[in-house]
Amino acid sequence: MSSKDNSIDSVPEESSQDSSGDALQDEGSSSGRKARRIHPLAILSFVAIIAAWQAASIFLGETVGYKRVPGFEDVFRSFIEYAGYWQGGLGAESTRTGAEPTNWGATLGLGHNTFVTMLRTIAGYTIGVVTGVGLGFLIAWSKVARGLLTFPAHLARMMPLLAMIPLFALWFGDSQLGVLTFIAFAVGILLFAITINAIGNVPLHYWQYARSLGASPLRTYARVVFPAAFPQLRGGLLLAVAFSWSAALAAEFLGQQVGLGHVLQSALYYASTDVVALTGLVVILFAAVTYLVANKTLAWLTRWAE
Amino acid sequence: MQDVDGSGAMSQGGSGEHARRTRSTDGHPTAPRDPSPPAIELRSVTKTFVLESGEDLTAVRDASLTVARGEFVCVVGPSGHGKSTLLNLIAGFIEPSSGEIFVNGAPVEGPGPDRGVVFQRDTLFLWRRVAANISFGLEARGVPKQERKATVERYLKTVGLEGFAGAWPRQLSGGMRRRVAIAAVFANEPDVFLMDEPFVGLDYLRRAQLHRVLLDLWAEGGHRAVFMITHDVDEALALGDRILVVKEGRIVESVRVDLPRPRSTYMITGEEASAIRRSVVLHFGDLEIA
Ligand SMILES: Nc1ncnc2c1ncn2[C@@H]1O[C@H](COP(=O)(O)OP(=O)(O)O)[C@@H](O)[C@H]1O
Ligand SMILES: [Mg+2]
Repeated sequence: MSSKDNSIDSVPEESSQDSSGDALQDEGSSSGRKARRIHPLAILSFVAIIAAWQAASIFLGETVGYKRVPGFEDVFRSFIEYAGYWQGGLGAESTRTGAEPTNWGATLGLGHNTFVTMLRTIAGYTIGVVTGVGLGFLIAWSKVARGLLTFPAHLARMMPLLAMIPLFALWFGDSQLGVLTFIAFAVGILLFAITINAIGNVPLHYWQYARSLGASPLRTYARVVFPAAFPQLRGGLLLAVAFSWSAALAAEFLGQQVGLGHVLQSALYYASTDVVALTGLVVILFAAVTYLVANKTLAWLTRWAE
Repeated sequence: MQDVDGSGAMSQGGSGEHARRTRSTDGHPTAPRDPSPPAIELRSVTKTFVLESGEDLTAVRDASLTVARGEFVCVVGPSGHGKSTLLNLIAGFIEPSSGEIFVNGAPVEGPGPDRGVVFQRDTLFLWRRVAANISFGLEARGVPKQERKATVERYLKTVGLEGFAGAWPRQLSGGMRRRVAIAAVFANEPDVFLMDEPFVGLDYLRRAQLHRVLLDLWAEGGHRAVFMITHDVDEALALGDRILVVKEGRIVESVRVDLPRPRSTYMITGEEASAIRRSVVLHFGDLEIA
């Protein structure tokens, strides 16, 4: 029987027999690419939260010299106060020099502080992911590394992160490096644990198969073990996005002169709950955007998964 | 060696004279290799696992075997009796507790591309498209790109999947995946094929198609030996030059299948085949079936 005969009669038969979508399933239905619609209950809960907030501001609002719960109007009106967080330039002078706050100055103040926090978050996240995942792979790879690093790494996981901020401040002063290291530390530890677990779950037969095809251990690691483990890192990589925002804000809160965390800290100092609320909304917005970008990217990277 | 066709070359317990005689013809076992050594050679191989409970479990006992170049050997036997362990030993995934294993005259030290393995479980790389799956071994061995492309196309054609080079494995049916797995291993052109129940879970027709694909690839290679585990005696009769029966870790029987090729359903249900089937099946014990 020639191979040609074989190919002609087998394919159509097979694709017609396997009714469960054997031949190509349509690409659009792959996981992660499904169109997501907003659930009606989600809208309801959103409205409920807004209503509760507004109610709280009415009933608990005006007290003791500052607003415990600012209303919406207060929150949006407080935008102008961001002008106080602008150091001057680009056509808006610093309010510290006695200039009147302007909307343009407020825009620059908010933009600048958001930009700085965002950059720190992204940079810290990237460093943390690379080192956490890298260390995880190193440990799974080398017995020596496993012996040396497993215990300290697990110890590090036990440490209360927030309590360590002063320690980082002590080590790094109020430098940029301290913030970045702190975010990277928080993210790295999380991903380190997830990576070790994910590698442990890669079936042995993948390794055996690749080796029996002639792949070196290193190639097998890079081309087989890593991609096989990757879908399991997906959840951790997403979780770490939210995590790195929190870590960035926390680190800025305690000892930075610029960034949304610094804005929060100084607004709290002056009991400007409206600025705190508005800044919170800004953080939620940008954290959501980075989360969605990360989610889309990860969905694309794992589009092959079943 | 004289038993190039592998007939009667297996040795086990009382029936081991042949292998011993074979060995004595070249003086001592580690003498300079024969110019064309057998594809697979096992000398008194034993594998004992130490279980977590601390107990020993001997999965393969004193197995000796010679598989000639180009020979198609099928291995049958009750499950849990050491067939896969035997295959894993030859593949180099595990080391024997005692005894020696040679492939093409060279001692086995870990897995290598001279032995292609088709697993029972699906081992396709899900993150690689079909064509990239088939070229994995070629890339690993440094085959130039142009040559890789040609080889992949050739093997895709042989297994009847020309149109699916760009598909992800998840988009294929079980039967198609098996074909990709087989093509990926054959494209790497190993000397020895080790297959562990490669067609389990496929229906009769699908299997027959895959048998044809397998035999085409085998015939194409010429000198390649196949060591295939199956739990289906009919499959062994349809494909094998020889059937080994493994029971309680021992190779207890080696029967030649002298049916001409290509084999038909008629042939493998005929008198000669039935005699072989009986001699094989009776090793499983005279079970009360109904
Ligand atoms: N890695 C292992 N560790 C411990 N026991 C094993 C291992 N592999 C196989 N065994 C045991 O060896 C025996 C033979 O197994 P196997 O070779 O898989 O049988 P078969 O393939 O014939 O079904 C079984 O009892 C099995 O539990
Ligand atoms: Mg088995």
